[in-house]
Amino acid sequence: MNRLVAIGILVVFAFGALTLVFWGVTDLHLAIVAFRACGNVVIDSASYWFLGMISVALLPAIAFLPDLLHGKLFAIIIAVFFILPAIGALVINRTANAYGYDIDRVPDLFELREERLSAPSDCRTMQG
Amino acid sequence: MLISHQPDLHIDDVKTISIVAKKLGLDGRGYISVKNGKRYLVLKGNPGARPVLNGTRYLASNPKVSRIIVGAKSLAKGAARMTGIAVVAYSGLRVVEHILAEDERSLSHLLGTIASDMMKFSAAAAAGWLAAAAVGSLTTLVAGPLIAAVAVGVGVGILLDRMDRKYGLTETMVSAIEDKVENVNSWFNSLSRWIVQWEDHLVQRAINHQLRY
Repeated sequence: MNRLVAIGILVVFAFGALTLVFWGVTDLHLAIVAFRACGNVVIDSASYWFLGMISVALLPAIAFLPDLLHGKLFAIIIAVFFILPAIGALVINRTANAYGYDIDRVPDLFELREERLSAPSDCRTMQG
Repeated sequence: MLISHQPDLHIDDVKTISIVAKKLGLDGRGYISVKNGKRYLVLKGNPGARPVLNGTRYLASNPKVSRIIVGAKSLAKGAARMTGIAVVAYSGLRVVEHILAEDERSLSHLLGTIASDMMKFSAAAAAGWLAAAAVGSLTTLVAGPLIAAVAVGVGVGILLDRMDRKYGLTETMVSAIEDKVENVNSWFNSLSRWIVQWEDHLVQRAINHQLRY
């Protein structure tokens, strides 16, 4: 494959990945806001994985980095791909727990589903 | 994965890639060199540090390395084969789900769900293949294209799954199939009514003909 074409393909994927990251961050932010307001929360586990898509946005960097640094770049890509979604899931779980939501119903990282959580009667607001 | 900056030199599938990674290590590097019309696999780095393939250059037809040197077409074939396996496995799962479902589900629902799965798998595999081919053109790192294929393929798969849940793509497909089936049914119903009417007409004509004599 031609070098320019390859870079073009990776740049397109990178823009797509950044869109997904934005989508994921927005989803998780809205969920956290809803938790804090003790409202009904819609959470989809795909949002966690969208955070990890920042790793795809790093792919075009291989075209501009020297060959010897590619190993390190791919190590970072793998780490980001798994660590960011795990952090997202952890933050949502802890926030749900802190406000008294049923954390058993919060989707895990490895089950792709959407869940609607109702506010518990004893929702502990941490505001004020 | 073994990749060179020359076109059409990529690795077959994940299985092959894992073999290569095992042989060369995750940070193993290599490229294809053509000399006097013969293709050689040139391995970079310290040969003594590799558990196997301690040489620096192998003829591409050497059985030790022939499995790890394949063309872009083979890469696409590998992706298609893996997609096929995933589709067959998921279709089986959908059929079992359909049989065990407590609510009444139509055959159109099953077909729509399987068609939706096929589209998702195909799109994810195609994106993964494209990313692997692109990365393969830019690095000599053995595992690079594998990582790109997995990251992009998984990402596209999760995106399509999410869009399906959010916008009900499978439901839309199921209702489209049901509409088509309904149209075909109504066409057959019209045809059967028309045949019955025509039959009545013929019987009436025969009776009238008999009564006339």
